[in-house]
Amino acid sequence: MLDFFVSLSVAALSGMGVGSGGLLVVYLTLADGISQLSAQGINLLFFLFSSGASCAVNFRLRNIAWGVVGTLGVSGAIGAAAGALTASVMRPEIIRILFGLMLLITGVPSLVRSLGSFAVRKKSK
Amino acid sequence: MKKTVFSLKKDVGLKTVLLGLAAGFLNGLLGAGGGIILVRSAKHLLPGDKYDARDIFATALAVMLPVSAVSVTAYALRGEMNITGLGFFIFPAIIGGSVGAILLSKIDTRWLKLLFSVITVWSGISMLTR
Repeated sequence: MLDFFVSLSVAALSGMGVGSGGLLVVYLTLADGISQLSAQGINLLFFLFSSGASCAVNFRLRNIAWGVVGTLGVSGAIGAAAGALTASVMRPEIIRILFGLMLLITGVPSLVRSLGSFAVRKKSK
Repeated sequence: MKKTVFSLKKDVGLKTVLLGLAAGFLNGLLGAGGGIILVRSAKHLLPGDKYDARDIFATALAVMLPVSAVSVTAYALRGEMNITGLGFFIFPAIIGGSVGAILLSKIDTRWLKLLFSVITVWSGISMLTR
């Protein structure tokens, strides 16, 4: 049941543009005890469904820059294959450390910006 | 409903390819994180007067969908895709993703962003110290 609510929350955050940042990977590895690579695989499949649902809504409501989607998609697909191949020859502990660093590199600036937006609003009152 | 505009900044071809490669590589290597590279770099590719933050987010999702499909295939071929119990994740993913996208234009997400940032930083520290 907890899996259900965590998934629902992460998908909703992702759909709102707040971010998901692989939080499902963290939950699966720390709470469910799933291996790093399996958790990453589940997270990718999860993202396919959650972002697929979001895209179905966004395609009608938002102004998507189709001019770059094709180029980014094709080069991204090549990069993804290379990334997955690299992951298959790396030790899982190294991938876990890289994953933790990725969370800190993305999380700390977001936290600073987020706190800054509250400070600006308080100042303008 | 907004009209879709097909335009981007001039001379961004190589930058676009490199950005796609980087986002895809991170997605394949770590199973996450490609989208944030696209969102943070969008100002170098797209004219800010035509695309707001929500348009950029929607564009990043549209890119990461096929990219993630390639990563999923690679993980499945490697035998890292355990499908037992996946229903617990897939069904809420569809519901949550749809509800989130509908709420995208309607709510002030500042508090959610703050909470999400705190959780992300805590998660990063947890992964490094486990």
